[in-house]
Amino acid sequence: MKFDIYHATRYVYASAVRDSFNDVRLQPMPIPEQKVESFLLRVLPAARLTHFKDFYSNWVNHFEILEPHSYLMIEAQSRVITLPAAPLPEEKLCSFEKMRAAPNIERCFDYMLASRFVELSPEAWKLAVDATHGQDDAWLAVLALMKFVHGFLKYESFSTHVHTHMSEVMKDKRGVCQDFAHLLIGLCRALKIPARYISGYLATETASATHAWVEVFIPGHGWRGVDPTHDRQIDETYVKLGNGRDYADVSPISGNYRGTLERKMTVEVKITPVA
Amino acid sequence: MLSRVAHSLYWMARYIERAENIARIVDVNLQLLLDIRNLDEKRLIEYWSPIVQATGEEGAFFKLHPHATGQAVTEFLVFQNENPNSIVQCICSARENARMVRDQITLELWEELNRLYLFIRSPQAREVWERSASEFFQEVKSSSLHIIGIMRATLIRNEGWWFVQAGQFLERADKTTRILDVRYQSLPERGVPERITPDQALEWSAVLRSCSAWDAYKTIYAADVHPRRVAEFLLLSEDFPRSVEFCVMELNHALRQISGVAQGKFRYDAEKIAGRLVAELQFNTIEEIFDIGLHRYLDDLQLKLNNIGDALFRTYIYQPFQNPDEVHMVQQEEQQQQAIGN
Repeated sequence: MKFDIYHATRYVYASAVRDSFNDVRLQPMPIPEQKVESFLLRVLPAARLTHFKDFYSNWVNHFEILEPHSYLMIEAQSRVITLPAAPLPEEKLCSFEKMRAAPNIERCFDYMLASRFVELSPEAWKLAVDATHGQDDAWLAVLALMKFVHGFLKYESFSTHVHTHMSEVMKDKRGVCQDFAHLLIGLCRALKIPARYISGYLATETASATHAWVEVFIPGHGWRGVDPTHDRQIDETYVKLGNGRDYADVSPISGNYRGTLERKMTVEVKITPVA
Repeated sequence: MLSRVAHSLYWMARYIERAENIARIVDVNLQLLLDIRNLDEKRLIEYWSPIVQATGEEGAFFKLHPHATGQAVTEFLVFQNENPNSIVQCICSARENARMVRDQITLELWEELNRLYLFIRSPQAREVWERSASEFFQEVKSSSLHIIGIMRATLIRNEGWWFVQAGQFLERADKTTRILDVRYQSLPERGVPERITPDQALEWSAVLRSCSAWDAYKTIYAADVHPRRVAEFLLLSEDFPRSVEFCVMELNHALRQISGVAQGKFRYDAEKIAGRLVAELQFNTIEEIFDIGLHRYLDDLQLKLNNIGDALFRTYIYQPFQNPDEVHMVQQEEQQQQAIGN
């Protein structure tokens, strides 16, 4: 499917701020599962854009505004064609025994450890083991964990914030897709299945917004996207922006500035299917 | 890029270029001595004094040496540790700067620079020097050219590269003006000299050779050496890579690569002064320069080049001390990822 994606983020500061340094991760990844036809980033006040690839191969646009400003707008516009791989069948594909070889095949060490928003606690391990009922196949275990997370958490907008840790999500049993993804990552890693956080967009008839899901590494089948918020494998309605250990690695816009903490952020995302 | 890294890359390039140019100046003047007849002590001192002046270190020199004798001058410019701009000290400083940013440069560059450093600090260097000074200078010059070639062929073209370029061309422009200024005492204060003696022609061809400009000059003016043409070539040539105009154009380009400001515009002081100097050199004629007086003009040029260096330092390197009550950095608000309408 082909989409036009418009993503505008506006900041209004109560008083002028300065020395603003920002990293923007809003450029869809050029990967076999999607083709990026165009990408345009606009920043106001006008600033010189530079770009680089980060440690996780995400494409980062960077800009700096040193002069005082009380308004900042970041507008990303992209056109993407999604070409998803066929979903994997729900059958035995890779035993836990074979899973052990994963670090030899793929650089996935980072995706097996605790990270900023994900912990490897005994509680998480217990949840994971209970949810998989002694399953000996890693892929079926992932599907079981996804189903479990989907049922375990209640989707509730504004119940969590952008920096909510997985342990709080486990306790409160509610959250948004970001929290669903963090919990599933934690459970997968507890069973030594490499799992990474994916930032992107979801474009269905009912939803048109930024989204987060999970990719797990299955030897022989590569990284496979699973969406715990909807309990399904990813399809052509998912557009991938970046990957990392958790949200902290792929935050769409992150940065620092000098000045007031009184500020207001508004985000507008519009995704239109193109014939 | 960290300011500290930019600063080290910039000075590494400057010191390499400086060592090379001092080697050029001393080398050519030593060779030139062979051509001068009736040398007595007084003439020798008259000959060597301007060379100390050209390097801009007169103060330091006369603290250490009462008279500008040939031996004192060469010792001062080549080996003296008390002179921060002697060839040995320049190479030590270049290496020290390179060492601080070892992770930003290539292995090949580091090894060549380190090799030159080890050579120049070894007793062998003295031996070569005493056997044949020109062989010694050849070693310094070719190593410097080798390093410039390695930088061009192996350094990644990021911001750091443009700081290297800025340092290199700023230093080269400055040293070319100083080499050109060595023989100013033989010129009238203002205006172009009418006729010059064969001895003077020899001196001016030495100036050309100091800048490796002899062959390039010959292709344009044949063997007709005249101060007017030498000055025009070394100041206003657009094509000769050691002429002041060429160097300032490259410097201006590098500064704009760093700041991202287009030609013809400016945002920071360094590119303002550099852009203005380019225009001035482009729209100047050699007659006008001689009308002002070559020495005065070169003095002024050196001042402007120093100002570019200072402005570059203030804009990119200098970090003023921050008051504790200064506003702190805060994190930009981040957006939560949530699919609405679930």
